[in-house]
Amino acid sequence: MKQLQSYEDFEKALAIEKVPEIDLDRVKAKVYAVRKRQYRLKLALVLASALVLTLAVGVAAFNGWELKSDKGRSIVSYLQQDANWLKEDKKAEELFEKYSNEFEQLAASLGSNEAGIFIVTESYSKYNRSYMSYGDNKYYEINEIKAIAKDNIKLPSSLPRDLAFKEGTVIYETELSNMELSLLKEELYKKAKAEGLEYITKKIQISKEPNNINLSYRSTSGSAVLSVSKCPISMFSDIKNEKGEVLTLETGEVLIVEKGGENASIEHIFIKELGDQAYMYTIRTNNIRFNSEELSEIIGSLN
Amino acid sequence: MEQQSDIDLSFDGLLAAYGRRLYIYCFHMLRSKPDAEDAVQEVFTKLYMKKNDISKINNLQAWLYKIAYNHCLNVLRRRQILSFIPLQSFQSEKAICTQQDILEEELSHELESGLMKLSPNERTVLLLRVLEDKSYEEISSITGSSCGTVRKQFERARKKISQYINSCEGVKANETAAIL
Repeated sequence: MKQLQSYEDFEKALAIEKVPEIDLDRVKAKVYAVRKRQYRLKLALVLASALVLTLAVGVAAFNGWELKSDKGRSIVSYLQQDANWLKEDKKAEELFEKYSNEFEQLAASLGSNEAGIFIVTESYSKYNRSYMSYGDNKYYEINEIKAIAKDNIKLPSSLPRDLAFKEGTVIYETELSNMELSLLKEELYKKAKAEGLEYITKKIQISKEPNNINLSYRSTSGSAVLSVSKCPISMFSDIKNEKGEVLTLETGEVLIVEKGGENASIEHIFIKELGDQAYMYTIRTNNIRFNSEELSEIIGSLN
Repeated sequence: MEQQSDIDLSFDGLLAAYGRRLYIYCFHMLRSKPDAEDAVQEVFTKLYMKKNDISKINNLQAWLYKIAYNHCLNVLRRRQILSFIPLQSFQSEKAICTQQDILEEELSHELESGLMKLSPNERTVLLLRVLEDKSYEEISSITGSSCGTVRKQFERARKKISQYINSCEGVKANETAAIL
């Protein structure tokens, strides 16, 4: 029996047709296989180049960088974003600002074992932005932090220049994988759009596994915040108009980024691999720029 | 309270955000699950290969669709060359057992036949308008045609679908008359 009677029927039927599910894990595995082949090819090219080239790394205009882990693997691609991106960034922030009270309400309602997803429909649609808030916002002592980190996240014993530990915070992993979390956000966005909602929220459970540890330090001459995060083996990160340089130390590469503007600071970033997991360490300082010896000392003391 | 502005540019994030959407677009373009999956894989492999140049991409979403669109065009061209190979409909993989399944199968067949009446460009414009709610400007940046052309292609696609539905109506009426 013929079911379509008009063009409008056709549109409706097209929108609701049951399409077979895609196996994203299979797609991912195939892309990873291609990436692995490329990595091997790249490695061969690098080794060949090393025979004839002496690599000198110095201060350069920062147009993006690939930061390697202590195992020599490229982990993060820092990408200089253009003016258009910055404009979009600002617009997305403005959209979020309109709903900051609602975001605060969600944050205040979270239990210590919960995280909240906050999606502003327009912002997600145009800029793919979402926001998360975590219920556990306690300040911890260093011994408590070390107990939480266990052997899974390595922390330095201290920082140079008389920087004394002040307090620490922890963000735990959600019970969803990154992929599941992204798919959930996508579902929430679709629901918000279908129901004509300006924003949508969802509470999810967090696990006992820390995903991010922040330690703050202070001295008479400046301050520092050390942030350790689990990071995917390959990720992109956007940068704006910062200047940076990569130091190649015996302990691996360290990217130093100078952030200007009102909140001027210096970030010292390095990546350490432990088993199958990569960890990104960012030490953000005010009025302090660590030298190579100090950075080697910090990295060497991770235990 | 921690707040995380999350522009998820990690591979997993981009795959989760765009993977299924691109797949649905490619599926309707190609009407084949394996071909659509291959198309998505191609898009994300290209994304990885371009990772150092992503900053030069003004609109990542449009770029992803453009890659998918070009890939689909290539597949359709190859199919034209190898036209003696029958198009494998995804419905054939499914066991049909209930009345509902039969109706869905018929509806899919009608949709597929309607889509096949359109040129690849018209199909793309219609799918992106109907399924993705994209503006003419956005579609124009994907297909590389002007906004005016995109608008005309959409109108032409609507017209062709309407004609297809009406012609089926005529056939149906004739069949009914013959039975009576």
